[in-house]
Amino acid sequence: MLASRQRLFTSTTKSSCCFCEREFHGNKKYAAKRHRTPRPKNVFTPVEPVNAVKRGERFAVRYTDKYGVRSDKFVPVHKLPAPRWSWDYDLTKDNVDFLSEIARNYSENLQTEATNAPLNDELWPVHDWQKDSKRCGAVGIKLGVHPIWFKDGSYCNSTLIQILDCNVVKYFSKEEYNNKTAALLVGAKNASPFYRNEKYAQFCRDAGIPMKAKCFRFLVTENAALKPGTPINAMHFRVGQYVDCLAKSIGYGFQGVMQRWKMAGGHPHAKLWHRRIGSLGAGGKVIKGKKMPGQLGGTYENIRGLKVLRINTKYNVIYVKGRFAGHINQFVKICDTSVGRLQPNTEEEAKRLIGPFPRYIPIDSNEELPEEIYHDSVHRMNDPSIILPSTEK
Amino acid sequence: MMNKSWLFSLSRWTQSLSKEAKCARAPILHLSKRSSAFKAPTRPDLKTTESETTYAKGRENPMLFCEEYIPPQVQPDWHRNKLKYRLERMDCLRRRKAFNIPEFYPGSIVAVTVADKHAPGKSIRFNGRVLYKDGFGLGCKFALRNVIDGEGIEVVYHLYGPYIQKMEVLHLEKWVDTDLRYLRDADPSYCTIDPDMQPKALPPTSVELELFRERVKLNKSPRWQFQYQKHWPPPYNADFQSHFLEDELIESERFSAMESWRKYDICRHYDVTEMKEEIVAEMKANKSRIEKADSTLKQETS
Repeated sequence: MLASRQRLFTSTTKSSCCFCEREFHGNKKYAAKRHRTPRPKNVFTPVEPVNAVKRGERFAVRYTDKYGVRSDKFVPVHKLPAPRWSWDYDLTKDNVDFLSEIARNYSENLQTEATNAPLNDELWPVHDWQKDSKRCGAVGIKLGVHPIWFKDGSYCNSTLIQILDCNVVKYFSKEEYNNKTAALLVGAKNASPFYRNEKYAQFCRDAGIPMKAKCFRFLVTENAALKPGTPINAMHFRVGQYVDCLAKSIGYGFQGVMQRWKMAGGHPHAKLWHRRIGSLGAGGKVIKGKKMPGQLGGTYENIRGLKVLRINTKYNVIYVKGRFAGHINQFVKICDTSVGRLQPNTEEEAKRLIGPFPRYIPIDSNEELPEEIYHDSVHRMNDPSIILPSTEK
Repeated sequence: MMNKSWLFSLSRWTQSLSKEAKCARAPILHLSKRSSAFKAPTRPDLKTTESETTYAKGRENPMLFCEEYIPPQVQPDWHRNKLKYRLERMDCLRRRKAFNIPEFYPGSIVAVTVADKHAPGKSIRFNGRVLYKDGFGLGCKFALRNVIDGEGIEVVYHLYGPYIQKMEVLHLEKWVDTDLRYLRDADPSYCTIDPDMQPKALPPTSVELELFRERVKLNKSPRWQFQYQKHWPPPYNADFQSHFLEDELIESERFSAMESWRKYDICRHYDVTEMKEEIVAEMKANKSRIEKADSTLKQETS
């Protein structure tokens, strides 16, 4: 103990407090002066106050000394030189082109193999649908919104979602995941392999697919397991079924109370009160859940119970009734609804309310699909205009 | 194209006949097919083919190019998706093939018959002057305004809405302004249109349209819906200057000048000339795309 204290006194890098061995970033010329002060030899080590333990002061990093003085060499974190290293830092341009071309060819070959090969060599068993079984979803891209008309003359706004290069990346069994449910990682949109995590790269390599830009996790039951590498397209969903869409909303940063909660604010001719919050409460306390300024948008928002009206099988586009959050080209997680009243109870209902279980398997692989699949209520644009049947007789 | 909109509507009417009426026609057709000796002479088609029709400057073939086909200006560029634009234009072309949407501009007089479940005959007709035409693709809308019994009425329709059963251009006119919402504050005589108005002869597509350059009188009341003297760009066809003295106009120019810097802002310029060539090339390809897609549809239904 004494030796350690000796070391403390001699070294200027450690703090002057004897009970805390934390790093000292303060001004060292003051530190040396302070240590010279005479101290009694036999003193109990002072007990750390409870609040200091709670705050974790022992392990905290201080940027100032006791007196709040910073050293001249101090550099704040946001002014530190950024790590400029990248994978092509010390490569010539020819080498970079060569490597990227190899990667492109590799991913293209993998993509063609993923669509054809990996399911044929070892098929995983396909189980039947049972009650309370959950199916895998898909990852798509939001294209935009446009109106769609029904046969009774009314219209609604429909959102277009494209399912682009969607593949299953990994399957976690029940024991592997959390002993409650199994899970599936599904990725979309091929990406460059040079900027990815090594562990994630191994997932894709095992599945035999190119790397994906975005992955989502789906909780499924064990009878809906899919082999890693299986492609998912627009036929994974059925016309007339209901889906949930999860996407990141548009981020507006830290916003005031008028934009975030649509409060009224002050009158422009008022003296001090413009664009501000009103009363916070009374009795020296703020009401819990009071609407205040803060981060607006940029959060994941889930919209439930959107109906699938139309499917384009050539471009893998799904037309969904209604809108959800997020800007254009935003990644969307699509899955079957969690709305209770739309859950299938029998096998006949399952064929109507959810898509093919556990995935779409074409009966005849050579057969061409119709390019456009419409719901019965939807008016096709190549049909003549609507004439309503007259009720008068 | 002259005055032929009623003819198109007739052909649409025959298509939309009930099944019994079609069956009544059917045996005659079969007879002509079975008799190998006699070949029915082909009827001269009254429709002018697209190659023959020529379009004057400022008028376009709607199958190839239209103002609605231009996507809105969105920045940054990765916030727009070209596939969505193409799919939407394909749907526009499908509608244009099924139904003849005539050419009209803000300022011309149009009559529209619409399917309406609340109307006694399940359809209703309305005519009026077009105030504006706005929006991209299927979302394109136009507004009609008519003054009936001294009460102004405005109705907004989707241009590509299939509930439109018949569209008739009663008087084709093109104004300098594209937004004529100031007609609400103008003399009601500009928008009072007889509901039984007879259509005037339409100029052929090879003739260039003359712009309407007259000035519309605004109401005397200074309480307009919009302060035209204080905004930029000022309307061309509205004569709001006569309501003010010279000194007042000089002062109001100050307000309009606050926005007039926009014409020098290059970032706000939206050059469409390159985009127009791309769209025309795309719409030519879309024709075959639609035929291919719809052929697979028919196989499924039959």
